[in-house]
Amino acid sequence: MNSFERVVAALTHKIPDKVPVFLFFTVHGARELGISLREYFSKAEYVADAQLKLVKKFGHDCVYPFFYAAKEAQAFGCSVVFYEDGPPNSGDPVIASYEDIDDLDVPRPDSPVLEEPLKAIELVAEKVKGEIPIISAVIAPFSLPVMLMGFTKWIELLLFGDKNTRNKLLRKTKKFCVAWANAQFKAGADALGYFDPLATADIITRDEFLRYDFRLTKDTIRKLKGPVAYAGAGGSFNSIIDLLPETGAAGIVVSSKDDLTDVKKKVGDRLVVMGNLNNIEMARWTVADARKAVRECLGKGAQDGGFILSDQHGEIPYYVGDDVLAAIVETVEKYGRYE
Amino acid sequence: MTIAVLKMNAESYREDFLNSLLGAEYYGAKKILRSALKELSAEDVLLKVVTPALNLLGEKWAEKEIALTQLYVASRITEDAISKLLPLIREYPPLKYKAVIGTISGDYHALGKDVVIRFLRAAGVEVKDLGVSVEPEVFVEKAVEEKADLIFVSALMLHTALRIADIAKILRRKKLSVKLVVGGAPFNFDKNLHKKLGAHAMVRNALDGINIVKKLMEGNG
Ligand code: B12
Repeated sequence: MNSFERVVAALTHKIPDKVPVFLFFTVHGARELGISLREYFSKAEYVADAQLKLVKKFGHDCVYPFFYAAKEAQAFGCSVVFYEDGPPNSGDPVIASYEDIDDLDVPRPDSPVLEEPLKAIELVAEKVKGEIPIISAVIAPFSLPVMLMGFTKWIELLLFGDKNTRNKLLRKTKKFCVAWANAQFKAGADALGYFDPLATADIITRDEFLRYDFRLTKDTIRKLKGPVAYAGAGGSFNSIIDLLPETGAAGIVVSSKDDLTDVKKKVGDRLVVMGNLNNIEMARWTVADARKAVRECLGKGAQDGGFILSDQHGEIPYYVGDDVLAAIVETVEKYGRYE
Repeated sequence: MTIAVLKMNAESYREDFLNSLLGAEYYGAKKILRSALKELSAEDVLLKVVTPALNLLGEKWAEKEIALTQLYVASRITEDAISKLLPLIREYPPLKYKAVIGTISGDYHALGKDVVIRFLRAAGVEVKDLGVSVEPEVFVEKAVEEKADLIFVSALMLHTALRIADIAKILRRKKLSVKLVVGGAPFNFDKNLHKKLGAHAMVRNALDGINIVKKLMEGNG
């Protein structure tokens, strides 16, 4: 079985030869190429090249030509802050006051800012399409406003603000999300992480999810031309887990705070379960720590298929060492076989 | 037949107040405090309704049941209540400490810090807000300038959190006894990270900030 077949088996709830393993490298590529993160993200060729190098080096089951979340905010007109040793962040928000929402233009997926990320997907697709799954990501309409206006403004609008203004904004972020996700599918992505950390129990209550996000998410996912995994970016889904199969997502990325056994029991027959290595602790793991953590995840999640081992977020921090990453893949190789 | 006038006591107000906080119902919570003030003294509203409800809320979060929106509403309502009630009260604040707070350099995420500030101020801690993306040296300089007992630092990302180690180093080098308290997502995912960075304590959520002040400062005499 090649990586693609292995992942398709997991996605369709059939038993693959072994548990697929995804290493979500967002910033390691720059380290691999020996260039700064700013330079790395300036060219699709760098990102595509590094993804192919990394998958060759570690032998995991995906390429992840995703740039960074703030890219979407950048497309809307926000600035971006770069770092030497971590993923870029959104800078000055494009929505300074609620009135700005009226004039907010929804960027088209062929806008210049999004050219390189799409090209990176095309470049890896030329090389590995059908052999290694091509994974990318999109920020959910409900979570994107944090980067467009700042978290405090978004919470205020959500909890105390004008309903029409809120809905107007969500219509715009939804329109963008659908167009951007489908452009990535068209460029060659096989599946996307649908990042909606604002839906998690860390941020809102179940009632609030039902009130503000559930329908929006269902409507959004229905319009997408490929499978998505619902991702909480480390936030816990325990408050809404029973609702997630109804969103239309094909999978779920589970927080390290949540119990894989429990998640598998609740939704494992309907959603592919991914996770849930603690990516923050990972930065100071030893090889032995890595082995132990992987075995624990396999023990809880691998049974009966429908499971992909990955970190809890979709982001491996810059300081995670190569020995730890190699140990993750090796441990799956050794203990993650199905026969 | 007599009509019993139902007088509510502090306890039932507290329960109602807590329930509206749990529902993240800002306007509901506000209304309850308004009614409470008609029957109870400002002292009682603050010390028997607001403060214990916040403590109970903190305990709930410890069991991982509380969402940011609930906490946000609680901090907003607490801020309102304090600004209204404090002028009516003689014996306050209960915690006479000073702190400086900010997000670490490179980190522009202010929300966690802002929620923390509201709760600390409600508990009577005098807090100087240094804003976002504050350099390690500036934290220490300002703490000395303000004669602060504590430095509070917030970080949302791992690579920015790591820079907090520099604050601890400067404090040690200058032999300052100021307590360094940290919080934010990376610390919640790695319970030992704060120790590695040389901080005195980490705080899981904004409400817990108050408990840490008590714990650290009482130990300090
Ligand atoms: C919601 C969320 C998002 C949202 C909004 C983020 C934002 N605030 O801007 C979106 C979708 C935009 C997002 C995007 C990204 N995210 Co994000 N996100 C989260 C999530 C789920 C919650 C973060 C949050 O905002 N919480 C709300 C705030 C208020 O909580 P808080 O800061 O923890 O503060 C509370 C307590 O910690 C405490 N506290 C905080 N500071 C202090 C200080 C003191 C002194 C005290 C007493 C208490 C205290 O009080 C607060 C209230 O209780 C976390 C995972 C998690 N569950 O925590 C990941 C997380 C923060 N994200 C992460 C990352 C990497 C990103 C991206 C960089 C991904 C990428 N590659 O592009 C982008 C960057 C976006 C940007 N800003 O430009 C990582 C950061 C760690 C790391 N790997 O380095 C996290 C931890 C996920 C993970 N496990 O890896 N994210």
